[in-house]
Amino acid sequence: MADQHSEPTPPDWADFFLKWTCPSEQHEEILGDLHEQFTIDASALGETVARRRYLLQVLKFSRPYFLKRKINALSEPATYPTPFFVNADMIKNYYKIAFRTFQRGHIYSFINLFGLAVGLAGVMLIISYVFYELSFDKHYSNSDRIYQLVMENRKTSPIERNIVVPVALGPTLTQEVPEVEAFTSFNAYELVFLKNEKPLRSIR
Amino acid sequence: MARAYLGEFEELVLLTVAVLDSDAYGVTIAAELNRRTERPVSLSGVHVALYRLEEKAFVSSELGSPTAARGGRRKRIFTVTTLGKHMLLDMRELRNQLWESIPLPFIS
Repeated sequence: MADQHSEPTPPDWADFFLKWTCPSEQHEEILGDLHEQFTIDASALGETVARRRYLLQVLKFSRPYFLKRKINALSEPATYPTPFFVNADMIKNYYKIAFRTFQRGHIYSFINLFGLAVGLAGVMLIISYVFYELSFDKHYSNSDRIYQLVMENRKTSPIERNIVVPVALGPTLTQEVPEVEAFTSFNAYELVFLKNEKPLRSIR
Repeated sequence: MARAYLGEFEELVLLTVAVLDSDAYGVTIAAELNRRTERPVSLSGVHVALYRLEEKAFVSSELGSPTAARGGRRKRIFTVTTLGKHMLLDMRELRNQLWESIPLPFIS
């Protein structure tokens, strides 16, 4: 408008009004369309008619659809705070989502959960067994180097294991197997021989 | 009908987007509708219809290249989505069925 020789342009104040009533993300395309229409009108019908039409169009853009969007955009905060990642609301939400997912495919969810429960139970049993087995002779130093001899009877089914072993096994293994450093033996119980209802002597 | 509601003007705009194929934006759609229907079509009405159609996923849009006539502003080019195409075909089908159901003397 400052240069009279340039092409006619629509009034700036109308553009300001449109920017005031329409949401900002649509300014570019709406103004672009309006200006293009103005250029077409100006060359076909003259600047006065084009200007009048332009103002009417701008006025028509202040309809509820755009006004509502503009108001909604204004009422929203521009930036959102980033809460700490462990958040009570979010954890509640995770549980809710998990519950709904379980509800949706409840048979598969049951299979999955059952499998997980069986696996965890197995692991816990194995851990308790292993800890029990490793709990012996802890009061000795070098307890990891202490072994107990067990005799297997393979003629029975299932194979029976017995802690009673031949007396000669200790000294023989110590002499002939270099890894065996020392041995000791212990009695789990006493044998008592009776003569005339009286103990004769006990064998240890 | 288990489909979204489509108003008469929205249907016209959707069809025009299909007609203008890859050159459908506010001004061209309004001009095309003006030429064909001979009723005053305002840019704002076309814009609202387009945004509504986009919210219903019958059209998709992307910003095109800027042109001098628009003061270096980009235009939003609209294209009909597959859903929009199905919608138009469904409506046409329905109308054809209704036309075929009209007793013969009415048409002649």
